[in-house]
Amino acid sequence: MPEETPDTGSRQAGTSPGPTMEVTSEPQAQSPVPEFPPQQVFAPPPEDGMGIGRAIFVAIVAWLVPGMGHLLQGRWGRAVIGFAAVGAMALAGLWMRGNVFPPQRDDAFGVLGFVADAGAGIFYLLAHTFQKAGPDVSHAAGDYGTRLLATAGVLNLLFVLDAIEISRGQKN
Amino acid sequence: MTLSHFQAMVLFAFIVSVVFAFLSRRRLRSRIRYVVLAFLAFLLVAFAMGWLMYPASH
Repeated sequence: MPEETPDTGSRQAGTSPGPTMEVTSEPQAQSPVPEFPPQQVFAPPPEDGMGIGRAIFVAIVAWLVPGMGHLLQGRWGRAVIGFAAVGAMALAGLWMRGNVFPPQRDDAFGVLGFVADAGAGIFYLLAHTFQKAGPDVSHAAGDYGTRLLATAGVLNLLFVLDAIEISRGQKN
Repeated sequence: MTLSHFQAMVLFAFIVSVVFAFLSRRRLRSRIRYVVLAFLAFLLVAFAMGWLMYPASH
């Protein structure tokens, strides 16, 4: 009964068994460790649950308080700019009596308006505190305020995406 | 608080320019350069669109 060896080099098609094949198969038998370490050959392992959980936490905090997602990760500059920019634009829109879209809307534009406004986080949740008189879009200023409010929410969503990318190591 | 159309547009252009600069540039010098160029581009396009639409208002 012939002895079965794990060496597959002598079973390649189109090659004749002989002393030459034995010589070429010797280094594989003597050094089973691959030439390159695995971390240089294969892609990095997929992110574990802790990384995804951290990204979700950062996203929620960054949405709720503009700039907080960057602050948690030590990005002071972007945190200050994010809070100041979103806050200034949202407060300007509220003080100009812009329209704040409620969650329940039937038309598609209302849904888009709600998504944009809600992106401002705490400034959307506290909109009625800052805007005691309510919206008034009968004047042009109220219409400008509506646009500023929506822009503030969209800008905060950009900051949220940036914070998520930083937490996952996709952006420095 | 009431802002005119032009004042609201200037506020919008400045804040959006600053945000884009901080999200897309890393060095302070390139950020400042981005803010200035984006802000001027916002104003230029707004004035150009305004003058293009001016005949339609008369």
